[in-house]
Amino acid sequence: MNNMQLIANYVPGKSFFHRLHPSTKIIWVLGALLTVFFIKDPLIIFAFLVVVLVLIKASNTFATYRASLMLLLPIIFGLIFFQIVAPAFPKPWTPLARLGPFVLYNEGVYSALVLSLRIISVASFALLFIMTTYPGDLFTTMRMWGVPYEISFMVTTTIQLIPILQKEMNIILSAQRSRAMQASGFSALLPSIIPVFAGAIERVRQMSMTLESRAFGSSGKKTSIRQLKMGTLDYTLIILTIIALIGIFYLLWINQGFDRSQQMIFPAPAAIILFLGSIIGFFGILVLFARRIKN
Amino acid sequence: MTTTEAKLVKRPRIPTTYIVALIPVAAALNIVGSTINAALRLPTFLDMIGTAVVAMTLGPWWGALAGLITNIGIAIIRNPVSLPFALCNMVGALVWGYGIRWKMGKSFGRLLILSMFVGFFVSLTAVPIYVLVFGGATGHFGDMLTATFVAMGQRLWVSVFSSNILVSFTDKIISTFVALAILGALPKELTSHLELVEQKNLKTVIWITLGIVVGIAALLFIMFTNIAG
Amino acid sequence: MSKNIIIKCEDLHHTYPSGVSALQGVDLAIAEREIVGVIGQNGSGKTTLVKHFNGLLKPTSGQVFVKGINTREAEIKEISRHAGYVFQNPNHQLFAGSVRKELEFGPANIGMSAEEIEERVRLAADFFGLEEFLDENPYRLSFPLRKTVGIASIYAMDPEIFILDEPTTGLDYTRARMVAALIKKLQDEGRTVLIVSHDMMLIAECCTRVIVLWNSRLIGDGTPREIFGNRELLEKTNLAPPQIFRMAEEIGLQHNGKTPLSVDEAVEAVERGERAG
Ligand SMILES: Nc1ncnc2c1ncn2[C@@H]1O[C@H](COP(=O)(O)OP(=O)(O)O)[C@@H](O)[C@H]1O
Ligand SMILES: [Mg+2]
Repeated sequence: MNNMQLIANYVPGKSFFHRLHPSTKIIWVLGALLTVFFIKDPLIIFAFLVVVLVLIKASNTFATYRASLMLLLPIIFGLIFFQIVAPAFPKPWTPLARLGPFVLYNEGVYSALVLSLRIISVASFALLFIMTTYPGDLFTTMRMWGVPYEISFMVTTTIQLIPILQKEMNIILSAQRSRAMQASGFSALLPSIIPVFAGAIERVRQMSMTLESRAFGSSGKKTSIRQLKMGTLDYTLIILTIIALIGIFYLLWINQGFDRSQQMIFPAPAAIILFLGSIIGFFGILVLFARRIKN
Repeated sequence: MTTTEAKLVKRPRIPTTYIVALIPVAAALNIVGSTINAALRLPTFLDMIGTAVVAMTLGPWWGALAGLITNIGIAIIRNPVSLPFALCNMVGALVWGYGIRWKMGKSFGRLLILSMFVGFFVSLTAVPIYVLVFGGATGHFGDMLTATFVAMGQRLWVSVFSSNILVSFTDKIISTFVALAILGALPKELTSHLELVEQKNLKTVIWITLGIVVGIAALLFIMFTNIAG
Repeated sequence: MSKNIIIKCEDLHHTYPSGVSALQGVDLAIAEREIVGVIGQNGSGKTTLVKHFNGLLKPTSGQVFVKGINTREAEIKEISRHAGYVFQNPNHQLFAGSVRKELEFGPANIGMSAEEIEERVRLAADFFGLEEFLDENPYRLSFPLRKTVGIASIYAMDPEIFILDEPTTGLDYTRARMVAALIKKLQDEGRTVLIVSHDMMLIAECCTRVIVLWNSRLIGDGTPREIFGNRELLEKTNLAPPQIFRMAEEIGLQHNGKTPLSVDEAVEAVERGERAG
């Protein structure tokens, strides 16, 4: 499990978050997910995001976080675009401006804010969890929760295989280019992908024999090398979390998710800027990604 | 282990250890498939080929497991937000797996229809996730098509489904025939129980795919123009 | 031997993105029809060097010319028509549904006509004894056969320069002999061949010239006899000459006035009773 650290998003450290038991963190992530998906006030979600960002900063994981969040940007820009012109609210919608075939709605700006903040904050919190949890501990926890050993074995193996196969892929691409294969396009597809698969399948045979010789699956409970114990802090936090969640859901229930779409009125120029910005952002990011792949 | 063994009774030829080794390889290949897709700059995803291979050789439910493991893997190494799409990967596996069992791989035409079924059901699972969670965006060039449909006056979920089905058909038809080519390179004991058509020239498949997708796109445009007009 | 230079390196440096400096100032000129053995310890830079000869790697500084083409300015596709590179592991290149299609791939990519392709495939299949497997899936063949298909697929492209990286690794004795026979045939056809190998017997038997890499630098260049007779050089690089050469040296066996390099030469020398002074 050693080389897993290299590619997983795990950032070694000793911060508060690092020291929590994975179970506690999983409950937090699930709780945040549920809460954020029922809150309809962008300001509350924004406040939650700020808290998460502070936690990320405090656990020294900001650099890794930023790189991972980049991958979300195209979808966020797309989301803003679509929501402004087709809000996730029942009609009637209040038009703010018109740009060519598109009408920009007030509810649209509102739901663009809610949905994008929702995704960013949930993703950020989940990333914080991934970045501060040693993958091995995650699998130990999965087994503690009754997930069969075979499943966590398969997930671990998958993660270990990815960099190996990626390296194979690079060798294969150069081997085929030596045979004058086109550098891109469908004609290059089978020559590139079949050797990766066929090579990996040969690996399966060897892996299978190794497992056979270790009598995989026949013995009883698997013990893990690293000891993971739930501390008093973890129990306290879990209980507090559950009480807090009950309170939050009661508030959400009586306030109907703090829906303020009718009170918040956005100026038309803001809607236009947001709309045009999402288009520029979408293409900008895609071009940026395409460049990065080329290099 | 008892449940695993119970499922295995149907295919006694393939040892459990082989399955336990094959599934992570397929999952890793799903992920590497999308890297190859990007490296060759193809307009597809190619992120379910490993799933297709497992679903066809070992059966639908093993394929679904491979799909699930893929998305757990992606969640851990990249971003947990993609976790809901595990559902799409699993649905694809079920359609591929049962399709092959119900002899949908016996001829070129049948396999083509099966791959469109896969595309359809994967879209059917993906579109609600895209609309409810991601506000209709996918983050790919397909979003431009969605925007065009929205501009034509269609509702968001109709637009997302229409553009997604085009992307999905392209991707799943090509993935199916790539998987078929891969089966040809696998050890015989894995594929001898399957009734499968001969490997097809990929160029032919791509032309047919293009025909199908352009045809459906034209149909959608005509429909949407008439409804709007 | 004609003196037309076909490959030329000028102050070739290569540093990988990881920061490893794998070549540090290599100057080398290879003439047409030379059969060059590239030897050196693992990690000395052999593979890195020969990958420059078909454009797979570009110099990070210095120049490489292949048939007068500066490799910086050409695509691999263009260079690979002149210089064929056989990868060590055949699993890295085999993909087609049949051996025939595998052999057709390279020739088709460089734009050969249908008749030419058919002729090249026939020649390659004939030479490598692959006729009976032409319709088999390459992945359903044994490893040595697969390796043979890999070499044949480059042979089918008809390159003037042939680069073989560890061609005998993983092959049984008979197949390894076939590689030696292939190199002889390539030589007879007037091609230039580069062989990266630890198989000193192969190097001694086939090469007209041997170059030695050590720590990213070229430290030896000469005929096989000169290199294998240079104790100091071999000790420094931790390489051992072929057994037969060492034995002949020990007992002073001579073939036409030189130390025999191959079993055949040694046998002849013994039969003639030729000894050193
Ligand atoms: N793709 C690569 N990325 C980084 N370093 C590499 C790569 N390939 C080779 N190297 C390093 O370059 C050096 C020379 O390697 P190589 O040319 O393969 O040597 P040889 O073929 O003589 O064994 C080694 O130190 C090796 O680790
Ligand atoms: Mg090497």
